[in-house]
Amino acid sequence: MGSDRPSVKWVDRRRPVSPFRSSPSEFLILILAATFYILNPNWPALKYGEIRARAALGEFTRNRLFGWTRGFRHRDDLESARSDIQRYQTELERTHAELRTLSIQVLENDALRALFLLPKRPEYRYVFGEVMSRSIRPVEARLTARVPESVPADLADGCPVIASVLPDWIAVGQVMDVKGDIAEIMLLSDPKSRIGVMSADTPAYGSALLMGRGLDRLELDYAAHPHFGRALAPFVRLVTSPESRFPPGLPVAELKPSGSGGGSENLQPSPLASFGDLQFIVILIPNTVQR
Amino acid sequence: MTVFRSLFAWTIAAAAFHFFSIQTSIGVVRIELAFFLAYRCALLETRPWEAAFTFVIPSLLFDALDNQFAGTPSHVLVFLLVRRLKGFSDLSRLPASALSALIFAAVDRLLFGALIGFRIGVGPDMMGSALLDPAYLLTALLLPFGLIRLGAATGRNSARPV
Repeated sequence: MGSDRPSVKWVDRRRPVSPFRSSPSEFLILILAATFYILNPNWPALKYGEIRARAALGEFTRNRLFGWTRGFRHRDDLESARSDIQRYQTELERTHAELRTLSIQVLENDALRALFLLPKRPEYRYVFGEVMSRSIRPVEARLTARVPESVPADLADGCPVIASVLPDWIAVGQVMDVKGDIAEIMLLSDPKSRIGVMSADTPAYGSALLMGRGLDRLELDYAAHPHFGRALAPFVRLVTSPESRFPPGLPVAELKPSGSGGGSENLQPSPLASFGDLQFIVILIPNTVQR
Repeated sequence: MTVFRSLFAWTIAAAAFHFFSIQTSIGVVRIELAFFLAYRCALLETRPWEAAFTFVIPSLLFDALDNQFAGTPSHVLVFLLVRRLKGFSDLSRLPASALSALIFAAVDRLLFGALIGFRIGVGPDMMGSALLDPAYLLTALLLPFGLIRLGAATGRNSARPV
């Protein structure tokens, strides 16, 4: 009988039992989280590993998983092979004709047409990049693009990035990081992004600062340049100013009225391209060292 | 050993949830497993180190893949807050679970926006825009169902008000 009795002989039942039990582990994990937040360790293998894995999964799905369907109708029979050859020849001729038509269509493709229209600037070299993944969130706006394997060694952080939107090229962002053949690009709407812009029509009013606000939102700060406020009108185009790292005069954004009032305080810059739909970008590498 | 088994399972699950996310024009649509786990661990009565291993490591993985480490501190703060508030009312049953999931998701996003903003030097400006993350709305809407599925909302495992 004595062994059934609890070891605690007396419990004070007059006081309510607290449902909360604090444990030292929660303060330790708070310290751990704060340490990571302060040190901000950046491990590129993890960051780019996911992008590479995603590209590899896409290729695997296309080539391996469904690639067996290509050899499905293989036959050893000579006669059937002969008829197959004839059929393939017909198909080849038809495909060749289609290819010729397509190549003409490709020449008329918007991006390529814009590429030919691009005024060549001798102070820059061009690196073509294919967008691999996008992270366009309220707190960041980034792209990762695959650039050719033989990228120039001076493709470095801060190189301006442009994209074609007919009839001209627009500024899109700048290179944040290059790792192998993958370049991370900070879009203009990234909260960290700041570039100098001026009004395309009235450059005499000087420059203002264009800041990113996440997703595809932009904001104009001209408090330091009060004359710039006079240049503001609906549908005015903002272009890169000479003090930005972009070639001057590239279109960046357009002022659009937001809200009811017609004053300049209700004009909001909006990007000229949908950043989420960008497929290809061009990175400009300055030939001279710019500081 | 149970602790480590759940750690491995949830870490692999976190990588999968991060991998299979959908990029839309309003942001990334995905299930924020780290926040889900933090909320679940706070409601469930676990062993002292189980909660830490269950949600902090997947949360750090999520943050490393996102290239920022503001998510984990905000999850930990929400974890501490929920643990201290669950004594006042039973947050594991409907409708309190649905409402509190939305509220704590908003609190988590506000903290995240503040931490990100202070990190990149724009102050508290990011708090408003961080609230608009569709991933957290989706996660908060799914949380009560997830808690029922995982046995937290049955009342057997959850903390009850005294």
